[in-house]
Amino acid sequence: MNQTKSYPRPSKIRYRLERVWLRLWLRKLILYLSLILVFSTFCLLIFVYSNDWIKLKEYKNHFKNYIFERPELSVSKLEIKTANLDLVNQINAILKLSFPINSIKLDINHIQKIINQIDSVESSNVRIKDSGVLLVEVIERKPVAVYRENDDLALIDLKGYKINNIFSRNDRKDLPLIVGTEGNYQVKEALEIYQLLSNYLNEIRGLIRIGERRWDIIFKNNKRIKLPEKYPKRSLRKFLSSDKSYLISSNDFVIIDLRFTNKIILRKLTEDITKP
Amino acid sequence: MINFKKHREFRKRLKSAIKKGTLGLIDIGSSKIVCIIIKFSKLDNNSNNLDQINETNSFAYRVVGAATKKSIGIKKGEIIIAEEVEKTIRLVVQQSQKMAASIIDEVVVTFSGGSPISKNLYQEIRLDNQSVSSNDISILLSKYAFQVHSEQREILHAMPINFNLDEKTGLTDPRGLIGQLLGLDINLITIQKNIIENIDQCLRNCQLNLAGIFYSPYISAKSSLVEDELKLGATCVDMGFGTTGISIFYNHQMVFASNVRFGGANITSDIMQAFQISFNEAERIKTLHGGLIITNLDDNELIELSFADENKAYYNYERPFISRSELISVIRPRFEEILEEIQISLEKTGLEHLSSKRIVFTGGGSQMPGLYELASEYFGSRVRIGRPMRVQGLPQALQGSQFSAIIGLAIEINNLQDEVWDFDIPNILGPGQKIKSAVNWFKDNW
Repeated sequence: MNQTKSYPRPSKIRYRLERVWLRLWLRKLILYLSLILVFSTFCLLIFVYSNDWIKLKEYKNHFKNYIFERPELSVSKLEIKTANLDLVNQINAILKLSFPINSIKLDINHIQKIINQIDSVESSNVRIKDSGVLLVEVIERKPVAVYRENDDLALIDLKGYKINNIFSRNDRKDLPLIVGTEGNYQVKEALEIYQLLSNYLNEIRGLIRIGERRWDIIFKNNKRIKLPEKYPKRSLRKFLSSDKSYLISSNDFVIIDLRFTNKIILRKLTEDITKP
Repeated sequence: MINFKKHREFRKRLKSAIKKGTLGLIDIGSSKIVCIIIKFSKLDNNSNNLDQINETNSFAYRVVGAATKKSIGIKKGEIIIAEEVEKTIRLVVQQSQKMAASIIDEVVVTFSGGSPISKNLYQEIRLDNQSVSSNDISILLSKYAFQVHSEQREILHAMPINFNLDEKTGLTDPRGLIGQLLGLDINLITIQKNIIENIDQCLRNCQLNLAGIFYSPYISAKSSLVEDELKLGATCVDMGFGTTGISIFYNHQMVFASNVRFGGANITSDIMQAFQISFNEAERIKTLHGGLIITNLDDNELIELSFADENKAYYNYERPFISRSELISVIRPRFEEILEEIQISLEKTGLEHLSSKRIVFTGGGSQMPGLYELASEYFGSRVRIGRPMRVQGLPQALQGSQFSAIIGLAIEINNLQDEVWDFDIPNILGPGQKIKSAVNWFKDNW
C-alpha cells in the first residue's frame, strides 16, 4: 500500500554529531579551549625565542627586506619635466637621490617641499609613475624685470619675487630695471609704464620708486620724469599724447614734473644741480 | 496485582522533562511523522518547581521547533520497517532541533493502530461509614483485574472516569464524602503487545527517551472538541491516512475509543487502481480535485493525469484525462464505507445516547469537500468539521486539521489527564509518607 520511495535522511553518526554540537556547554567549551590554545601557543613562542631576540630581529628584517626589495616597489629613475637645464641640475643636486629606492621609503611630500623651496620654482608636482619613475613636474618663475637693491641686482617675477641674483646689468639688458624700496612689489605697474614709453626704451635707464608711493623715470642723460602718486599711467599717457611730448627728447630740461594734473613743471639744466 | 512500572517511569520522565524546560512531541502517523519541540517558561527558582507545576496544573509553553516528513515503513499506524521509521524520526528530530537550537532528550509519542480495544471496568468497595480517603481509592484501584486484560495485550490508557458513592454518580472527587459503597468506572484501552516496545526501541536508537505514549483519536479530540462538546458529550472522528480513529467524550472524560482500519490510503489506492496511475499521482489528484458530491459541472471538469514517473510502461497512455465526476464516483463509495464502519462501531458501544449525537470530524480526511453533507446524511444533523485549536508559536504550515493529533498532544501535556498509574500504590500498613503524598496529589489534581 505505502509505495513511498525512500529519500535522503541523516545517518546515525551525523544525527548524533549534530545533537552533540547543539549542546550549549560543548560549544562554550570549544570556544574557551580554542582561546586558551591560541594564547598558550603565543606564550610558548615567546618562551622559546626569548633567548634569541637577535635572531628574531633578523627574521623580521629578512621579512621586511623581502617585501621592500620587490621589483614592483622600487623606483629606478628621476624624471624632471622643465625647460631649464640649470634648474634640472639644481634639483638633482638638492635631492641627492641614489637609485633604486623603495617607494615605501620615499617621502613624496617632503620632496615636493624641498623643490618648492628653490627660488626659481613657482610650483611643482611630484608623483611615482607605474614604471618605477619618480616624476617631478616643475613650473618655473619667469623673470620680468631686474631689481636693484643696495647694489645687488636681482631678477624678479611678476609678483616681485626675487628669483636669483645677477652680476651685471648687462647680463639681462632686455629686461627693464626697477629701483627703490618696495619697488619690486609694483612690478606690474612699472611694466605698464615701460610699455607706454616703448618709443624711448633705448634712452631709459630705469624706474625709481620714490618714498614707496610713486615712480620716477630716469633717462640716460640724467633727465627724469616725475610721475604722480595717483593715476601715473593716465597722466603719462596724457603727457605723451599732448603737444608737449617733445620735451622728452629736448636737452634743455633736467626734470619734467607731472605730479600736478593741471600743469607741467620743468627744471632747467643748471650747473648747480647737475654737478653737486 | 500489576503496578504499571513502565507507565510510572514514563510519568517520571515527563515531569523531569517539563522541569528541564524542553520536551519533544512526535506524531507517528501512516502518512507523515511530525515532530514539534515545546519550551516551557521558566518557573520561579526560589520555590520547588515541581510543587508549582502541581499547584497550577497548567503552565505557559511555546512551540520553538517543528518539522514534518513523509513516513516510510508505517502501515495502518504500526511500525513495519523499524529502520526506515528510525531514519525518518532522526530527520524530523534533527530539523526541529535545528529550528529550536536546542536538543531534546524526552519525547512524548502519539500513534494510532495496534487494534485498540476499549473496555469500561467497574469495581466497588464497601466502606465502614467513614469519609472516603485516598487510601480507599488506592485500595479500590488495586481490586481491578488489570492483570487479566494485559495478558495477551498491553495497557495504553487506564483512565478513571466516574466515581459512584452509594446512589450518587458523576462524582469527580469523592474524598471527604461519607458513604458505604464506593464504585469507580475505568476506561481501559489495550493494544497489541510489543507496540510500545517497538516505538521505545526506535526512539532509543535515536538517543531519545520515551516519556509517554498517547492514543491518537483521544489526542485529536483534545485539540478539536470545544469545551461544551467535552462537557455534554461528543464523538470525535479522526480521519487519518492509515486508520480512522473514534473517541467518545462525556463529562470531560473519554469513555470509549476505537479505530476503523480504513483511511485515506484506501481511497488513494482505489483511485490508483481505477485509473491505472501511480500512487503519488493518485494522492495528488485526490487532494487537489477530490470531492464527495457530484454536480453537473463535474462532468465537464477534466483532470489531467501526469505520467511523469519512472515506470511509465505501467500506465494507461490512452486516457490522459478523467472527469471529476469519475473521480468522485471512485472516492465516494469508499468514504461511505468508512462512515458505515464508524456507525457500526458506534452502535456497538451502546454509548450513543451519551454523546448527544454530535460528531466532530478532524484529521486529514476531514478536508474532503462535501464531507459535511455526506456525514449529515449518515449521522443526522449534528455534524461538525473540526479544526485544531491554536498553540502558541506553531508554524502556519502545521495548523491544518491533519495536524490535529500533534496539536492535541501539546494541549494534553499542558493539562495531563489522570491515569491509574498516577495514584499511589496502596499502603495497607497504615498512614505514612506515601499516603500523605497521595493526599497532596489529590489536592492538586482534582
